[in-house]
Amino acid sequence: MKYKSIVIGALLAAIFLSVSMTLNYRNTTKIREYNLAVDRAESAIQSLRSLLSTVNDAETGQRGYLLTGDEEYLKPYQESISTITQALSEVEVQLADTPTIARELPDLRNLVSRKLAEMKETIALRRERGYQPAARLFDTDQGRVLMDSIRSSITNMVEMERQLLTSRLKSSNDAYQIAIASGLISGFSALVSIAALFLLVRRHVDEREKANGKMREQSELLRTTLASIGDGVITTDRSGHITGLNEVAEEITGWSNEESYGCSVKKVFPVYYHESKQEASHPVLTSIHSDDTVRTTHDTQLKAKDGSLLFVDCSASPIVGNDEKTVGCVLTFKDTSQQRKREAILQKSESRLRAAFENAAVGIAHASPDERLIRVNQRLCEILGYSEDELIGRQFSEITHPDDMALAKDCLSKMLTGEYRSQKIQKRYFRKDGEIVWVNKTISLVRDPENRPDYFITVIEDITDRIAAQEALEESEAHLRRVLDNTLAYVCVLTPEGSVLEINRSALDLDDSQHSDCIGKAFNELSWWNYDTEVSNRLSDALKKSASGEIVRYDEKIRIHENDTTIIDLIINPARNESGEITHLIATGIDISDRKMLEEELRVVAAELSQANKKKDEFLATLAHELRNPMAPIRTGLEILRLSHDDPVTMEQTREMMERQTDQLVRLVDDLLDVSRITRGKLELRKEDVLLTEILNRAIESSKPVIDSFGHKLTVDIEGPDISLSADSHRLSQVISNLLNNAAKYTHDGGKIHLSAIRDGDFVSVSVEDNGVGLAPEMRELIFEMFGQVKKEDDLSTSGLGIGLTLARSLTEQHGGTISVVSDGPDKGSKFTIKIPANNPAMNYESNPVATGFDPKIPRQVLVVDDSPSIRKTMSLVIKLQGHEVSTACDGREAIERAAETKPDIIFMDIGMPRTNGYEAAKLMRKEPWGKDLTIVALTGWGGEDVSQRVEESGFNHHVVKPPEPEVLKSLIASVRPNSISSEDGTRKES
Amino acid sequence: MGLEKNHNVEKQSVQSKLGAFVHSARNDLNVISMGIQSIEDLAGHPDKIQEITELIRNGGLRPLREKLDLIQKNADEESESNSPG
Repeated sequence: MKYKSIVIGALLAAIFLSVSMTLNYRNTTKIREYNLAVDRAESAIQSLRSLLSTVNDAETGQRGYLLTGDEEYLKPYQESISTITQALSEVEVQLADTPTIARELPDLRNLVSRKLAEMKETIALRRERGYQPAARLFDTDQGRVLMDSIRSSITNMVEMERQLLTSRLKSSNDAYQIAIASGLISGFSALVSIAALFLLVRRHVDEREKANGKMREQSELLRTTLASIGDGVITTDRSGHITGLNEVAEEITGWSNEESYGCSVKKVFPVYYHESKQEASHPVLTSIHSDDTVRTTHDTQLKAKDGSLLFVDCSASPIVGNDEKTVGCVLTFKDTSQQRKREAILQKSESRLRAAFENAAVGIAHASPDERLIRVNQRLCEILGYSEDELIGRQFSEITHPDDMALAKDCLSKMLTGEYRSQKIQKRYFRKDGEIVWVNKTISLVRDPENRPDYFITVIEDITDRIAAQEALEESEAHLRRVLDNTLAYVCVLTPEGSVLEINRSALDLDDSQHSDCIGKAFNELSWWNYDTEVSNRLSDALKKSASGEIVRYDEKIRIHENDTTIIDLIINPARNESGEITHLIATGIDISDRKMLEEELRVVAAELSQANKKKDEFLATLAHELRNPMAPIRTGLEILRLSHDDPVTMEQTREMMERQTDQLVRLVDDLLDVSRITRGKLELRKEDVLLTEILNRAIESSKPVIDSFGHKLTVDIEGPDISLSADSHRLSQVISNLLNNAAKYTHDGGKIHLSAIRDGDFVSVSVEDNGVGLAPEMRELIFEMFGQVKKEDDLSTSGLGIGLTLARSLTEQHGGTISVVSDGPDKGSKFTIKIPANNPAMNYESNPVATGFDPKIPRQVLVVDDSPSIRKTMSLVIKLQGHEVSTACDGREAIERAAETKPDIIFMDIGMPRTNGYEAAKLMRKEPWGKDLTIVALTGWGGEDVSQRVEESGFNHHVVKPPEPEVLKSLIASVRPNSISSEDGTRKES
Repeated sequence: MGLEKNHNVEKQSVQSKLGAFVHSARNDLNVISMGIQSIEDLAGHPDKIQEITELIRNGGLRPLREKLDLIQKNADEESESNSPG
């Protein structure tokens, strides 16, 4: 635009100058013409005058000659005659541009010619004829008239020429004026134009200089840029010869800018295909030929000057000149060898990442900004229980636990707003199967180059087990804390240097300290110790010892609240980590002030326990002895039977004796079991409404043989109506029987025993009084202790296990009653009284009806099952002697086979047997058609509620402890319907 | 405290022994009891009586005596170990 202005300005200036020059030329030409015309006019006038003068000179000569005849006078004439013609020619020439005057010239020429002829004639007359003839001719005035005409014509022409001259002078002057004016104007205009052009050019030059400066800057910038950019740049001319390399190009190719200048690009920058090793089409040449940008393939390698091959990424573009023609090419390239290595590494890395993603031990997901799943790995599928297809497109919120929804949304919101780049939260998801899974979720937000949220990377770790373990641990810790706080021991956890890390409630309560007051404080500076320097120092020493690995324990007196003191058993135990380093000291204190006070008593107790041990040993010895005692007569009885030769009286007496001894053995064994139950607290009562007389009668019946054996006299006194009790009749009769047996044993033979019963308000009192050995006062409590047997001098005192009264007291107390003894002293007899609650007298009591069986005389089919051959044999014999048919089996499996064969009415079966035990055999029998209604009796040495319960659960109908009472055996057999098996179908008949 | 604990342990030991003994003794007593019961009905059958008395002796009394001997032996040993010195 500016250039155009300059051109326009220059054109205008040129026009102005041209106009000015044209005007000047024209004006100058006019002036010259006018000047020439003036000159011609003046010349014409001069010529006319000269002509006239010449004619005059010729006439003058003529006249002189005429007058004188002297030829001398003819010289002017002759000279004029010779010039007149020339003068006329000159006039003619001079008047050529003035036709109006030139038209007069022929007349003049004629006049002159006539004049000349006149003169010539006169002269000739004069010469030939002398003066006279010549004078006469002269006197005719012809000559004068001609002369006058010539003079007039010339004067007229001069006048005309003078007028013309004046006019031409005026025109010349005008032209001069115009030329001056136009010169000034054109000059001024030219000056203005030149000034304007100068300004334009100056401005243009300034701008050009600025542009050049800027161009130089840009050129410098370009040069610097080319030098500094990471890509190599090579420029060539249109024939592919190097015109320049930047530093990077120099470095990559190994060619310097100077040495490569003018070289072929194929020489400086030879390219090959990596795979084929063939020379590649050169991008520069291709670009120049095609006038288009050319890029190389990924496979292209540059062979550098040193021969090394480098992967390059090239782009060649033509350089287009101002004429839109390609003037060269610029090749940009970069060494991609490292990039390819990096890409290879990156590819490997990506492969590893992909593998890591897919095989990660944690769940990984990519999710869109609205948390819609884009990509999930296998582990996440396993954690959530969904397949990959089921998860893709699903939002996390769909499976988030409602209680965690707000937390999750808040987390996402903060990340989307840029408050956090990543977050880690703990939340719950619902698995596909509905189970809740706890996870640690780490979320990172990836943003695109415009910093817009692109996608979330979510790492999910299943911590359900950890949470459960943590909860368990927390519960455990809380439990431990509760335990610590509720333990009576004072517990402090210390650093190895002795600073308090933790302290339990019991310890704080010692001096009403606060937890925060103690934490971090030196243990030996607590108020417990610092009341006494010696105590504090002793503790410091103990802490040092413990910190070196020693367990320190000693008793210490410490100060507690209100300046009281107490004695504790202090233990400082070093706690080690897995490396064996001591990480903590555990200081435990137990208040032993009471213990100290009781130590003396404990020593007494120890002595007593020693005595108890002695009693136990004595008991065991007594047990053996007591059980041997009945065995001896039984053994003797057997010998008597062998020698009695079947004497009925002897046999019956002997058998009764053996039976009594056996009963004694059974009682002893039962008592032993009760001892065991009492000491274990497992003796249970089966209470029922029962009449006191029934209990007393049973006790008397049980003890009568013993009483009779000592020859004692038993009297019974029951006052008032019969009394109803809520009691275990068996156990209560056992109590009374024990009292009667005890009285019998501790009364000399032939003594008196008195049994009495009386209602005492809501209680009933039963007393057994004897006139026996009596009791020393100090023995009144001891006799109720286990094995607390009174020593006597005679043999009677050694009988029994010393557990009867212990049983009596325990059973009485379990009935809600008491037992007491009074005695006036040794040999003054004793009176034992039990007092137990009685039922309301108005209560209507009905005795349990006695169960009636079927005809006992009808033989039953009985199966005896026991692994002991002796038991099988004796049981079989007794039952056979009662008239029944007996078969036997040695274990449960054989019992089932035998039962299937014989279809027994009742089975007596032991529990503990080889192969198949009694429990299993009973269960299997119940599954058989013949066994569903079969009566099965468990006959075992094991008693107790637990055994009875299991016996019942196994399908037994009854549980009888060995040995069975004869009546029990008979009644059980009698209770079953005889021949109850259908022979046809094997099922039992309806009773 | 330790003394009491020891005492409890010993009590439990005694109870356990007693329980086992009772169960075992009842089997022996079952033989004796059943044998004696059968004698009542075996009058006139001296061979049978002879047989049953042998059974009572060998199947009931002897094993019971052996158990008692064992208890006695244990009691004697414990008594010796508990005695001072």
